[in-house]
Amino acid sequence: MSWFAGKKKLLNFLIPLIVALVFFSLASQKASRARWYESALLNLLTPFEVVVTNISELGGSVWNGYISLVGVEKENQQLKQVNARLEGLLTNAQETRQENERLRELLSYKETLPYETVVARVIANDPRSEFKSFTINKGLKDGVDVLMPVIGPRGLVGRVGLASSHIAQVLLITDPNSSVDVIIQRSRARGLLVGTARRTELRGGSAFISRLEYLRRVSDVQEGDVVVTSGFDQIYPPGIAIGTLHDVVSSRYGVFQEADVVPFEDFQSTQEVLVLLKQADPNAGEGS
Amino acid sequence: MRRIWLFLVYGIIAVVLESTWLAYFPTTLIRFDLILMAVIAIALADDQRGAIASVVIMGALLDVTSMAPFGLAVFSLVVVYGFIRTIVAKISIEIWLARFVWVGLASLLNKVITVLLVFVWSGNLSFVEVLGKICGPQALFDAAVGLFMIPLLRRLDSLTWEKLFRPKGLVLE
Repeated sequence: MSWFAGKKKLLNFLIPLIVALVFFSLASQKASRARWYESALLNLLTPFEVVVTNISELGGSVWNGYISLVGVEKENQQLKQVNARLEGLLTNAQETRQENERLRELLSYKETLPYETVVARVIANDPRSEFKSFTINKGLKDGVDVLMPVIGPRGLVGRVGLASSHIAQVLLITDPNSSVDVIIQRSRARGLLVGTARRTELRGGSAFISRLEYLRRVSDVQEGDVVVTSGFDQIYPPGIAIGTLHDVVSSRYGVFQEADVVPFEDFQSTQEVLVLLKQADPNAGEGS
Repeated sequence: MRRIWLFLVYGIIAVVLESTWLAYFPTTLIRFDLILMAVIAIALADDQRGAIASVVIMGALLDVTSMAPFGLAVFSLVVVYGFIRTIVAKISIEIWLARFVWVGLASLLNKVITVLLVFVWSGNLSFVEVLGKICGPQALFDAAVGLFMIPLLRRLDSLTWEKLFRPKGLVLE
């Protein structure tokens, strides 16, 4: 007993470390449904994330429509206030119109897909910069399950990596843990698209790129070629647009060439996505 | 218990902010790490009751909002806490330069442990590449943020219900 009393401070420190390592060892690289403790914590956080996301949307329209107009001449204050209110309404209307357009884009995409889909809103991003994922407001209760493909208005976004009852986390194609079997649309050359979490100077430096690997040296590829899903990985259906090729590197020796892929989808501004309710092959998530 | 509740609320607010408004601020790669700041502030306190539990809770909150394996943030933050506790008697955190250096080092340590664990977990070198690029600027940023956040959080840490709800007259007396 006296030994334990003497080492109490050390044990206080070591026990959480060991517990964390146990949890860490339980974490699978494969996509999985949220465990009970993850679900409990997610359910604790989700309402706050939804509220903050709603406030930022409302705040954005109020800022654009009202606060940015503060500082007007006194004699015109009343008129300006009316004007501001109208501006606010206009901004709201524009916001609604833009949302409608985005949803219409998604719906037109949806009609071309042979799967049932669910429209979901992005409510939070990954707080760690080295991981690329976001949280959507649909989960197991809405039919969303792990490994289901997620697409945006412009192209592939990623797949569901963790599903809880009301929300799900989407692993983006730019995350280093993501890999997608793809083909070049023009030449049908096949390769593997892996995330790099690297930024590109294109699109003002805000876009992240993925890398196309295992592309045979003799494959016909050019800068600007469009990359689409092949469907061979049993997770993503074939023919979903992903992005365009940049910086094709073909070394003098070696079997493969590599290229960067700039996704069509801008993940930083994605607000709504479609989840394809497609059950993946249970073994398909391994390593992807 | 007071500290645990206080930092549970702080942790929820911090994680929600980091995953929404501060998700791409100040840049897409360098972010505010409000949880790390809180862990350092807790480790610097004289009274350590509920300290480890608060660190574990905040780490767990960070873990569930990320695609990182559960336990990663808990482990790395407990190590950072242990690091600060080990040196706390030897440093003078009140001096701004010392605060800058030690917070920067704690941030670096946090990232190095993250790299090692993620590499062990995934065997993916891309994480090492990404973290290798961002850990330096992130440490400098954390060190700069720590200059004003750490004193603020230490005051928050010493907040009690009594201080909050004591009648004004009594305070003046």
